[in-house]
Amino acid sequence: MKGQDSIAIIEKDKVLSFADIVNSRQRMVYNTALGIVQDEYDAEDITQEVFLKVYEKLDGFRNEANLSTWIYRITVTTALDFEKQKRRQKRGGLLKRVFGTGDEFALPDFNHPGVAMDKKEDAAVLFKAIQKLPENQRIAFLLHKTEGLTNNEVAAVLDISLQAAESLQVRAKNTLRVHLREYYERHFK
Amino acid sequence: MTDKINHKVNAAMESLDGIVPAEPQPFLLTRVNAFLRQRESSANIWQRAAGYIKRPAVAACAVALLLALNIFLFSSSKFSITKESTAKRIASSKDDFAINVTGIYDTENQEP
Repeated sequence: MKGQDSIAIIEKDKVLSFADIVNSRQRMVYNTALGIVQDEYDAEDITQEVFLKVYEKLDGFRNEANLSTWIYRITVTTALDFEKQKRRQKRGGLLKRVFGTGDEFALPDFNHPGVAMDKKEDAAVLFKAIQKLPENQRIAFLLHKTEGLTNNEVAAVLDISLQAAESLQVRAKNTLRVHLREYYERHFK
Repeated sequence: MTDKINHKVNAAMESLDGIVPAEPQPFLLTRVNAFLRQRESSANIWQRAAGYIKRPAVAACAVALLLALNIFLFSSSKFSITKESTAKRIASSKDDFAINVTGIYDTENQEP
């Protein structure tokens, strides 16, 4: 059994303990999870689970990958798994998926606490449109928009080429515009 | 109308610009550490149980108990073979399979 204080890794010639990792990366993990699941309580649970996984896997972490990139990967995987599990658990979830309209705009509003007050309404509509994106486009867009990652960093997290990451961003924006236009056309009539 | 929609679409697309990171609940590290400690202590219970079972004395006792149980079952009256019970079993088998009867004529010619 390893002691919680005994595990440490070296990042940029600096020794980081598990506590340092949690303290320095908790906001990053929480915000990434929050963007994906769009629920503050779920994001809290995911953040905790991510750090438990980090603790377990830290021995196997090699400095070949950037620590943040590695933690982003764990976060994205954990959040997507959580989301799938939650969808399965919802009563009638399967029937709704098969027979439902798939209208994410019918979901309750998600108000991200970090969005400016005057943009909250628009952001809530955008978040619903984001939920309609294909998984890889959604992750690429969120990492870029909410986490401020560059396309290079997004490519590293998703383990894809830079061109693929750029293409995902462009496609995500185009798809979002289509969904938003549909939404506003319906709501302005 | 189209201009208004375009304006709304653009406004929505730009609504995440300048987003401020949300703050997670405080004491995350404390909660993670508590969870890890709890998990490790529950893992310890199973490890201790496994260690106890693996002790030679416990294993020898378990084997002896199994042997004693087997011996008891075989030596109990249900399984005991006596002359009387053997004769009864042979008689019932003969009745069941009509071993005494060799043919239909034998059945008809049998004296009551």
